[in-house]
Amino acid sequence: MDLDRLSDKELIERARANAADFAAADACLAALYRRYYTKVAGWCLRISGDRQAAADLAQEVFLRVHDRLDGFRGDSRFSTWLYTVTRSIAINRGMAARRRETDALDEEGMPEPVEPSPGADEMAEKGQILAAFRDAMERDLEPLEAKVLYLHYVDGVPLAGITEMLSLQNKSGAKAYIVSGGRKLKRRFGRWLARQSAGGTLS
Amino acid sequence: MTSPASRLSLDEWLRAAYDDPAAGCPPPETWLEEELAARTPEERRRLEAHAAHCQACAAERDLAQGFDAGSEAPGVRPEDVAFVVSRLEAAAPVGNVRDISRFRDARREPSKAVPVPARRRIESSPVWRLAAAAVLVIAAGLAFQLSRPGAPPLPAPQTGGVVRGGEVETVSPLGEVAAIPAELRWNPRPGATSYRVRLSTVDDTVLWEATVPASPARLPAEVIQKLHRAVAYHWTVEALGPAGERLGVSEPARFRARPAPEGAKL
Repeated sequence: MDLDRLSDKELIERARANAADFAAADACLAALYRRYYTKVAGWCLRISGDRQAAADLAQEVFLRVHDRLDGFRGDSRFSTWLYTVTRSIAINRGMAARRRETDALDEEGMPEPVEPSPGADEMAEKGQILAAFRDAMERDLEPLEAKVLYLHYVDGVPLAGITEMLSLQNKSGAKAYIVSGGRKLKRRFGRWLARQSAGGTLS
Repeated sequence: MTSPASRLSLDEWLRAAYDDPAAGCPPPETWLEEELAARTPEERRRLEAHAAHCQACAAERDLAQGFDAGSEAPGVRPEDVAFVVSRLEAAAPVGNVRDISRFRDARREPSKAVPVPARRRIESSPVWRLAAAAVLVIAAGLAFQLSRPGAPPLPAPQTGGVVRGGEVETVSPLGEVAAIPAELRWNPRPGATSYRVRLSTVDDTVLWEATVPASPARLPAEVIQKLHRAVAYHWTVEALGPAGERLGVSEPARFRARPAPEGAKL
């Protein structure tokens, strides 16, 4: 049987049906994973900006996929599930690195926190701030600033990865957009933003 | 002071802003080519209109398109793709503990790549069978030596409970310890943004490895269950930089939980 002719779903079903026969099940899963090596490798390279880090990330992705394949119910395409796993691992790995990277970026003093109006409903206030944040991302920021801020702060993509991914040609790459976009948001939302570290930097 | 719930950091606000259903952002995987193709033209137009003014979704679309493009994505060099793929092929995660061990070895020595499905080939090798038998004999001998009454204790940890000499200092557990540990501790290394921790048996079979942002690394319950008293284990820590580069590695630290007193419930 030429396993490469089977669909992703068929390979998974065949591996499950052959669970007692390790060699047969392994062959099916190996064929399935191999199908996506290039895709995952390319994506990891794009967001890591470093091939060693990309290799580590890609290996972690396939280990996780293999660990969790039993829980894959087939409600979505395997490729879609693989992407969600890949993205999730990349985000988690990127968070710690991101915190370190951006610690050095804050260069402005923080506005003093302001007392909210007495009796204000905190949840309602938070909802308003969230809406205002989204609005500011759309209106106050240049599209590229907003995109870089989102990729870095929400998706945890390293600055080098963003620079590579968005083909930024300026000298300091994504860092310049983080600083300029972050400055605009801080100017408008400083009263709601917490100081994060002993040095008073804003992450 | 501003109310505590309102004092969040920029990334927390941004994540909350885009997790909020009111933002109307579709799930990130929506932007994959196959997922878009499964939608009606009207739905696709609506999504594109949303991404035109929502830079968060525009960013997610870029990420998803990068996944679709794979090695064809702009800026991705074929030689780098070949490097990553060779590492994946050397460490195909098909199988169990032996494959995880291979995964580690492949990281260190990518040139000794074993193509998938490797388990079948390795198992069919007479050399492998002989090596496996030798490892089993050595491991059984060590376990016996350590578990018999009056077994010599492991060397006491150095002053201060810190192993020095490595580029990362391990703190605990070291040497003979009272109980099976629940976590591994080490001293931070300047410049490190994460640490790769690896726990092994004395025959270098990896029981667990993980990348964590800082000390301590808590051992998962399923790993703790695999650890036995009177059996020695090794662990190491690698300090990693922002790009995942290795900044330093600890000396292998060794520990063993004392045998339980006779009659004690294990």
